Amino acid sequence: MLTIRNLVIFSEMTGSSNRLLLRLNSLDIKPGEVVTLMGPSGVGKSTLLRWVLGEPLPNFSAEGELTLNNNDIGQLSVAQRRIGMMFQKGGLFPHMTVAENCLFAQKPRSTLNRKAQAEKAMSMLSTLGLNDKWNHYPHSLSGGQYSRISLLCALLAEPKAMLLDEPFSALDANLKEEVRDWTFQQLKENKIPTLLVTHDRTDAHGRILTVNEDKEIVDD
Amino acid sequence: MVRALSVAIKFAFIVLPVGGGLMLLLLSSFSAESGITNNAVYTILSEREALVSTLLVAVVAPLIACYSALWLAPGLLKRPKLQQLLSPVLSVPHVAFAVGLMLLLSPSGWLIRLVESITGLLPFPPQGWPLPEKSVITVMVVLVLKELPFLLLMIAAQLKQVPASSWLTQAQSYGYSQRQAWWRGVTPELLKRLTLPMAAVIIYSLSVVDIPLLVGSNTEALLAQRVYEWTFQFSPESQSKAVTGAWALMVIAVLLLFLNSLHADLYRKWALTKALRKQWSNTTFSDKAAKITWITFGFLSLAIIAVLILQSVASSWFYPTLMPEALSLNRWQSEWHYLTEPSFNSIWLALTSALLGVIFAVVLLQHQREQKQKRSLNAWVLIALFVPQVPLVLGWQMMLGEHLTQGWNVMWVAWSHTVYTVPYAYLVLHGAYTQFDEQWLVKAQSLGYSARQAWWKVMLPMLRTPLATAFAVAFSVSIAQYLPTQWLGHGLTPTLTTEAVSVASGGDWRIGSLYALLQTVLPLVVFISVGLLSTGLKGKKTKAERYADYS
Amino acid sequence: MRVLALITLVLLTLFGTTLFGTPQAKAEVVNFYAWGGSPQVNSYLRWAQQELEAEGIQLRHNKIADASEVVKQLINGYSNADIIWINGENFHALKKANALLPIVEDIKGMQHINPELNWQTDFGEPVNGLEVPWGVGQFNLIARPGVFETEAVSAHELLRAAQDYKGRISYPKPPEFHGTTFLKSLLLSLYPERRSVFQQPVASVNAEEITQPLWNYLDKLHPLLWQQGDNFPSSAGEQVSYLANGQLVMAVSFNPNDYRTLVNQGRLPAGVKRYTLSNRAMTNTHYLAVPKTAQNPKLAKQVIEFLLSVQAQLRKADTNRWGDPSVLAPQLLQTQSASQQTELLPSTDDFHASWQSYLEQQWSERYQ
Repeated sequence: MLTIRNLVIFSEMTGSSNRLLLRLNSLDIKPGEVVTLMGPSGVGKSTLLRWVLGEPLPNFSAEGELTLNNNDIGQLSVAQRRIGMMFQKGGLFPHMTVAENCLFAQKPRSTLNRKAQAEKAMSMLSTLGLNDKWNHYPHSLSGGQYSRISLLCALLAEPKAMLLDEPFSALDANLKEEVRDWTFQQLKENKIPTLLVTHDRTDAHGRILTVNEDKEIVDD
Repeated sequence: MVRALSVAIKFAFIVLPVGGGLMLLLLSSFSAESGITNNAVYTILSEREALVSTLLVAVVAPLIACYSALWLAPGLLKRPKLQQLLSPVLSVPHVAFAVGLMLLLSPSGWLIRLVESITGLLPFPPQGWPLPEKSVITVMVVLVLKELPFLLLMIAAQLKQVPASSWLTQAQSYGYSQRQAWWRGVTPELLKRLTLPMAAVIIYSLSVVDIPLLVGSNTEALLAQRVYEWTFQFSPESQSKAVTGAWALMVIAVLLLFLNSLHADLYRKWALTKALRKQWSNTTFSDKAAKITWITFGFLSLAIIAVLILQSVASSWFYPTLMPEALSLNRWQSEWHYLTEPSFNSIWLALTSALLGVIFAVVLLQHQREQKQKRSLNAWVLIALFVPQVPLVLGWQMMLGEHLTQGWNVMWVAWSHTVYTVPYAYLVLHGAYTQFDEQWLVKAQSLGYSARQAWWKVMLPMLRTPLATAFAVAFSVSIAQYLPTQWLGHGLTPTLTTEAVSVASGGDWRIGSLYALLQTVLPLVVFISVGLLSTGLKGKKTKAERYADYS
Repeated sequence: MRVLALITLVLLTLFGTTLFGTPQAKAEVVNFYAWGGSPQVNSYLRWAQQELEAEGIQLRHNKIADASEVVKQLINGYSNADIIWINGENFHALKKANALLPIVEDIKGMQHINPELNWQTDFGEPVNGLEVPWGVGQFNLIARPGVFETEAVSAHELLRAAQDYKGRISYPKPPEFHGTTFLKSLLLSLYPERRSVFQQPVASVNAEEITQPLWNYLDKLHPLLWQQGDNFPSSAGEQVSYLANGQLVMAVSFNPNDYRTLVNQGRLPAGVKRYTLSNRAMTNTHYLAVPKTAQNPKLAKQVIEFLLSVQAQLRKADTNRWGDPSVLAPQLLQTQSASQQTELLPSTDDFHASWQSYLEQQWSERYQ
């Protein structure tokens, strides 16, 4: 379970001295649950995600408690937090094949040997029917294939929580639904608490949060 | 049209010059007076230590420079303005840099004088100091220190083309530490893009002459140094050794370039397959060591310039004084009158050949993109850099003939500079240009722009940092040309470099430093401008750019 | 687009002015290719330029890093040199390539040359009228006070000094001509009675036997030298820098006045003294020559006449400036100013030319 308590984020960009960006009193995400944060661009949703992920935020100052499965992860590095991510662009390393991407994703945490890692990735690909892309480079994948394989790699890294930042906005309408549903299903099956950020209502899933005038994140 | 231009450029600036030069070398290889003899081949092969030193310098120094640059590069991601720190070192001519380094670190250098003034333990320069005046180690140190900023500059240009930050984040989310993410996720791609710059660095390390002549060993001289010495000794044995040695250098060059082309792939294999050591190093890039290195490096480059300035205004400066005995501007004042002609020549030659170099490189690269030959071996464009300069320039004279050059010397000097700026501009641009994402152009065209407009309005502006960097590098390459300027110019195009090299040959580095500083000024201005261009005048992104990152 | 056009326009203008503004084959220009490594020589030539302008001649001093660059151009390429400053092996190579004009007969100033001066051979090679003497060179050592006990340094004395000042003595690496002359002087010191032997071609005497003592001596000397004889200064100029910065206690020179002029210029610390290696200094001459491909041989000769004039030679010999001894007969040089007096060291002639390459080759085989 992913928990956030008493989060305050201030912006430190020039021309605004310590202007409040966002506040969040309390948020619990259960395993397999998807919580969607909605709001217009510029309100700071991505900043929140980056704080959860553990990225350094040079233009902001943030305070809050973050726990994952009852462990305080606020002081841990990105690698140590075991949180996966899917952003709008990228997701796969363009200079590696699908195979290399999958193996790359497993290397730090997997206890399997290389062959077993390959087999695991292969079997996940086959449920998508994308085995034949094993040795292809990402640029030869279609939009939908790319998104799905991205999530696959993220899952292969055995994350304990997942962050999604507008992951479907680059897909066209009919593909979106298919990929979306598949994504949420995977996350549910793997019991991964997920925080989704989007500005598109149709992409929202599960509990929805918005940002009110006081810059506080509340239930919709 | 691109195709026609490309062919014309290749002919006029690659085939003709290199062919002409090699032609002379071939002819002299078979002539009675200076042909390749068994004796010559044997002499060269039997100088084992010299060959070993040569290979050591040409392999180890570039590799150290490369991996050190990659180790320091993450600092550029965090603080792009650090790039400006590189400008002084990049602009100081190689020999002047070596001299400056020696003035600081040699047994009679400033550092030792400092120790002597504090402790009084060193009444005269110590022997057995690790960085003596004449040794292979000193040559390697100079080369690494000079090539490191060049490679960092190349990496900086590539970092704009590659989403390194998001790759690092992605890899970290998989569980790699920051450092591991850099070395495993980002470096393979960077190394691939660095293949050509590394090729140039290797060829330079192999064929450089003036640095070993100054600070290298002369009993176990490097091969290029020996070839140069033999070239200017006029007995038949020396001449035939010079010719044989030139061929030996070219063979070694081809071999090393082949190895270089494998480097990126080998590294990639290692990065993707070798197991990780599971250390949870929670240090971020505030890797103390890298920070200290950047600071030291910045200090060193400023110190070198400072010591060159002091030398140039020193009346006299002997061991063990920390400051010159007296300072005077006499030297500057008396040289000032005579500086107009060389400065003028240096400027317009560098501007012209750098501009042409960049334009021609773009034409060649565009042609390559259109041919979809992105992955082909491109090192042949660098071929002008392999051939030792003496036979090359002599070959040009032979090819062009006396009557063709007379009266047109100035133009031929500019041409000869361009022959060297094209390969350098090409290698700086190559990675960014060929890897440029087609999607941007497709997007532009879908908005209604023609292919040509898309190229002007989308591609070129997005490549402005590599283009500017290519210009700066080409500019400094032209400034540094000595032999072609002397020999094709016939005294009509004295430049700051021809003056500097001839004046410094007598060993008086007070006046040598004066000219070295002048040689530095022009490229320095260009490099700083390029730095400002790529990092923005205030070093900060616009508000829009920042919001785009974080919303 | 407009920016590009503007840049192109600027460049074309620059290019055009250079192309059409440079002194092409204008009749008054004389191209003098001379080594540019000495600021004193450069100043002297700037003075000469000014004087010659009054005569309507534009003398261009084209600086080069080494005379061999021009020689290479003359032999294997093209050069527009009208006058060149050479001696020694560079002269030998040009003579062999038949690249020089015989000019000595045409120079009126030659009648004022010091008859004692042995300028007809250049490092042992007959000049045959192909080059005009310009100045005198006498091989000497410059050392810090107290290093040597006698003004004439014998090989034995050098060895003693090398032991006392371990690691602080050296000599330029042969085949640099200072280095080779150093070897010759050592030979003379080891063989003072056999002076005449060295005037004969090396092939006509038992060179191996004669030179063996030299190699034995060097085998003893080298471990005591700077960097244990593993490396040597590459030129006399470089060695002067080492003397200045304290690395070495001794430098070599062919200019007998360097020990004073270099101190005046701040290149060497005050107090350095001059010594000869063996009891006599190897004396030779440096020359001016006109290549056959010169475009203005007539004007070149005019320039040479000027450079041989009393006025020009006196100024050249001025120990407050260059200090290069004159080649003119001494009685012509009587003058008030003491600084323009030059005293020559006791001299000895150079060896036969064939010894040069023999010694260089032998040294290279043993110590390189």
